[in-house]
Amino acid sequence: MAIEVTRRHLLIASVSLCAAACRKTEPDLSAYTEEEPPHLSSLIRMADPGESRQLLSGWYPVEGNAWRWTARNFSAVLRPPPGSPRLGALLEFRLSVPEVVIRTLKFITISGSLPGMQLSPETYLTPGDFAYARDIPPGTLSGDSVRVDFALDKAILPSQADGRELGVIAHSLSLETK
Amino acid sequence: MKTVELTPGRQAIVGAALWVLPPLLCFAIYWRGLTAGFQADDFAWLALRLDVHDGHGLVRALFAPMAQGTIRPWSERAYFLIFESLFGLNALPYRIWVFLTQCASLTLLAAVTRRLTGSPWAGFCAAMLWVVNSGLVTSMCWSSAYNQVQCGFFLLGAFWFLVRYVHTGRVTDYIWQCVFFLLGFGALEVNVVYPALGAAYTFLFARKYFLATLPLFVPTAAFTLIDRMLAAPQAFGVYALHFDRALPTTLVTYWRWALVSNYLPGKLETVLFAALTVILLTFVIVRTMRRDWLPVFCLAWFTIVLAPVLPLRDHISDYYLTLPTIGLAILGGYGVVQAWRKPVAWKLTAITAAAAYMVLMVHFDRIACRWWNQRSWAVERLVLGVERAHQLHPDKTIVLDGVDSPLFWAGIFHHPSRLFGVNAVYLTPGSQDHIEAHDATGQVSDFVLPPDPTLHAAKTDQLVVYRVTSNRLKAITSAYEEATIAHLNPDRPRRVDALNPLTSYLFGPEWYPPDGSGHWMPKRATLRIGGAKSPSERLHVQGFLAPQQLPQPPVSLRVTVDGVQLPEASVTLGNGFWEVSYPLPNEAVDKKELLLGLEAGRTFHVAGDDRELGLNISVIEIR
Repeated sequence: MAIEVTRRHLLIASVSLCAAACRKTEPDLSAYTEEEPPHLSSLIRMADPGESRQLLSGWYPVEGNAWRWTARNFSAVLRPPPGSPRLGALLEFRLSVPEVVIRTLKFITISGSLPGMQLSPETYLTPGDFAYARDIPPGTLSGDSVRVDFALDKAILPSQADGRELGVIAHSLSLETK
Repeated sequence: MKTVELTPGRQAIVGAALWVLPPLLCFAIYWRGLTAGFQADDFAWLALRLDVHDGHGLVRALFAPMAQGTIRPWSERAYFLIFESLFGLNALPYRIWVFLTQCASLTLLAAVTRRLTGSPWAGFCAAMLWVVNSGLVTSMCWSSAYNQVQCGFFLLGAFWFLVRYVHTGRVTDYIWQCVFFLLGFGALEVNVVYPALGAAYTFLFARKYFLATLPLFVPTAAFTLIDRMLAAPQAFGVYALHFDRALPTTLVTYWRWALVSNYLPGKLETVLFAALTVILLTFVIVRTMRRDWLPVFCLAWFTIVLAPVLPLRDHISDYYLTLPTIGLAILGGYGVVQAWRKPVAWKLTAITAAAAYMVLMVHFDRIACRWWNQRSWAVERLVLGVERAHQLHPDKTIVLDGVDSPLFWAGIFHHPSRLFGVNAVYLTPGSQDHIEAHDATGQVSDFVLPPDPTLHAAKTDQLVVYRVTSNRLKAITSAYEEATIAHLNPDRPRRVDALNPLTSYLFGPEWYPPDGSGHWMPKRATLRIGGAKSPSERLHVQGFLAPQQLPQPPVSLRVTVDGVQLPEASVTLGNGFWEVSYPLPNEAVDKKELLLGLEAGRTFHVAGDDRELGLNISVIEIR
């Protein structure tokens, strides 16, 4: 089949080629910033894949693009925020206690600990959203990282329907300078 | 100007050179403008596409009045929308288009001058004299000034067809003149002067066509009427019109800039300005006495085209000379050719004057072009650095340290990062001390993070801080946070930007999360803010109007301060926003923190959204 190439066709082709050539596609921008050496975050949002490397053990995969189930014991590592060694900090674990946990376990108690320091426990008797928040006194935190361990007094045992040991639903974990 | 007989071949080469050299000189002088990136208002025009989601949005983007009520659908709206859709954020095609338009205008000017003078050399000289004028630098380096270039093309095109119409009497030439003239309204408001140019030309050279130019005043009158209706009258600020004794002073300033640029300081400027003025005015007077009206027409062009901006006493800008200097270029070209037919002294005078003008103009054109070019690349490095920072830290607020005046006003102020989906970029506290204030344009403080939210964000690891260096953004978050916590004042801010994610800790739990375009409260909500510094200060609350609220009477807002009810105040409605202010009780003075209680007079629901919506707040401030 013969195709007649008109000046109009050539013009359209030229403009299209020009447009394709001139449009930048995903440029490499790495030269436009000079970053600090990588460091840990003081805030772990459970859905943030970049911060999941700070979740050490006892955490299940992200669900609903927002939260994770924990096991009975779970740990994470956080960066002491600026000024916290001198001023102290607030440790805050935002969690949900689902209906199924209270229905199965009646109540659930969480306690946290930092190296050399036990944090007071808290008991949840009803389902809902909670914040387990504890003061960390000045002088406790130091260095570039701190390990935080949590323990529940009980958990839903693995079953045929769900082979996981289920504790609470985690949303975020943070250290904030006071 | 021909002094020796040329062979036909050489004549053809010279003839072609007369057309080609002015555009080539344009590229030679302004090549840095060709390679300049985006800056300042460019980002506002580039952001137009963000509001175009359907046909209605496109019509609004093309024709809705914007700054100072301007509607320039071809030279600003369509130009940026079309090029952005074709080439994205690559500035080069935009710049090439500007240069191509200007080359067409230079060719039109040469052609018009040939017709007016009967001399190809006069056309050549006019184009050369115009292209070097420093009034063109801004237009040739900044895409947002394309309106001048495009309007020049339409003005010269219309005038070219008028001149042809006068010579041929063909109606098609008259119609083409009308087409170019009407299209010019989409480029720049200055186009309204075209009928006066046409009338002056026909009155002086072809009086029997004078009446044919009068209908052109009808579109001008209609456009002027509409433009005045849309443009909010400005009693203050740089765009306020002043019909007073400053008019002649402003005219003389523009005359001086047109002859010796606004860059040249000192005695040389004065001497050259005086010499060129004497030479030009002498030429005009001598020719006029011989009933040669072209020099008078050239001066009329300069004055008529400049007239719309003469009342802008406080906004004298060199790029407003882009179009008026066409008249002086024709005058200069004509003068050089006339002098060439005279004794040597005349020739020397004309050549010396033209050479002095061109050498100085080109010198300052190049300096100015370099400045525009370098500023645009500094802005580009900043904008791309911010985009990179957002790639690396999508959940954190980007804060910049070390931003200077040029970078702020040519970059940050116009929210360039919106183009990459970054809605909020802030400056570190105290940045306003290093940035020159331009209150008529905007407030630097709107972009500066207050100390308390900075402190809170540093403690909660919500921000990344970059220092602006000459070639890239350097992350300094850790060091900045340490210094911030040690030194910043923890007093509550007295201005709360409701869209700033770093101020969320000041809002009570009642508020709905900010969604980028607003921060909605239900019927009642609370907020913490710093106390007043004096009893005369008032509480100002601003917000956005939702489309559902527009047809209804204004919503009332009742406010309590630490439980004390403030007097009722009327809500002022603006174009898409509302504002209200309240006197404060004496107890609010010198308090570190006030608890505000806000209560909307009524609420509403939007289909598909189960939230009870009261008011969409943007800023709460005590000042």
